Amino acid sequence: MQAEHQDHLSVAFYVKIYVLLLILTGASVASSFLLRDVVSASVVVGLILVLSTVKALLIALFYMHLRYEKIPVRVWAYSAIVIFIILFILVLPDGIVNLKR
Amino acid sequence: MSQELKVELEGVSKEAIGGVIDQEELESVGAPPARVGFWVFIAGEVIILLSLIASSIYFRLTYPHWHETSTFTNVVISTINTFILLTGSLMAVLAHHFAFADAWKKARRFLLLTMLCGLAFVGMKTYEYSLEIHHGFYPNTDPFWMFYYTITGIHGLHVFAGACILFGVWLYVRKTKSKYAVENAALYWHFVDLVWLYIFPMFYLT
Repeated sequence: MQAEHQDHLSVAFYVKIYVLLLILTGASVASSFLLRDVVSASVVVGLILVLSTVKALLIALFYMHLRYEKIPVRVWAYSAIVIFIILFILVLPDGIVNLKR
Repeated sequence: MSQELKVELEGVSKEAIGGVIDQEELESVGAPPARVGFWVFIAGEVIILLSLIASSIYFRLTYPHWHETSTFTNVVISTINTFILLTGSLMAVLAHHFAFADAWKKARRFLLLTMLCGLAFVGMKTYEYSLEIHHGFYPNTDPFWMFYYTITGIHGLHVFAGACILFGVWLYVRKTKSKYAVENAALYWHFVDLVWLYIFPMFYLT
């Protein structure tokens, strides 16, 4: 983390992020029960995955300080996601074939 | 080899062995090697765990009983565990915050609290496993339980390792006051928390 960002990342800021994470977790659990009979299962799964991604971003950007990191660190952090996406796309045709069986 | 060159090389090797490289000095010119190295490690771990999660998604798509089997998992315990991990993340980031502010007493206290969160998670998870095994759900019961035990088991081991690392760092910084050790321990904790954020909905909520 760069030194100039040390000051404004206060304890209160971290607690606010924590409260937001708890609210999003509550929303995930509530939506899995309340929306189950209202909308299709794929919509519920999609919504919960979006909420999980928002939570993951909050942790990565603010708790892991990626937002304030220099380029070398960011490159390594994002490279894992890129490699994972490539791996996922490589095996995707196999999954689609299995689905159609 | 000339005597001067020999003396010079000995000096360099002593510096390297002694770890004289000042991480703070390197901070001014770029990211310190300790941090970059740790992110390389995390990147590797992310790929391993996400690949496991991706393969379970394929099984989920092809195995017709996945959803009905997943209703047997314990949402209450897993929600409490999510709360524990998120609380641990707050404790870890506060330990990091106070370490960089040179408030070492507070930093060490928050390190210890993060470690306790890790142990609480492992305790709850063990209890949850015992309930599931008691109800006859084993890793070889069906594909859902196979992935469930594999992924949550590997994650649980990471949490336990995180608790051990935090305890080690708690001891280490008592004398060394190494804020980079605290930072890396906190990063590791956030990583296990981040992975759980996807495991939790995958096996318990959807």
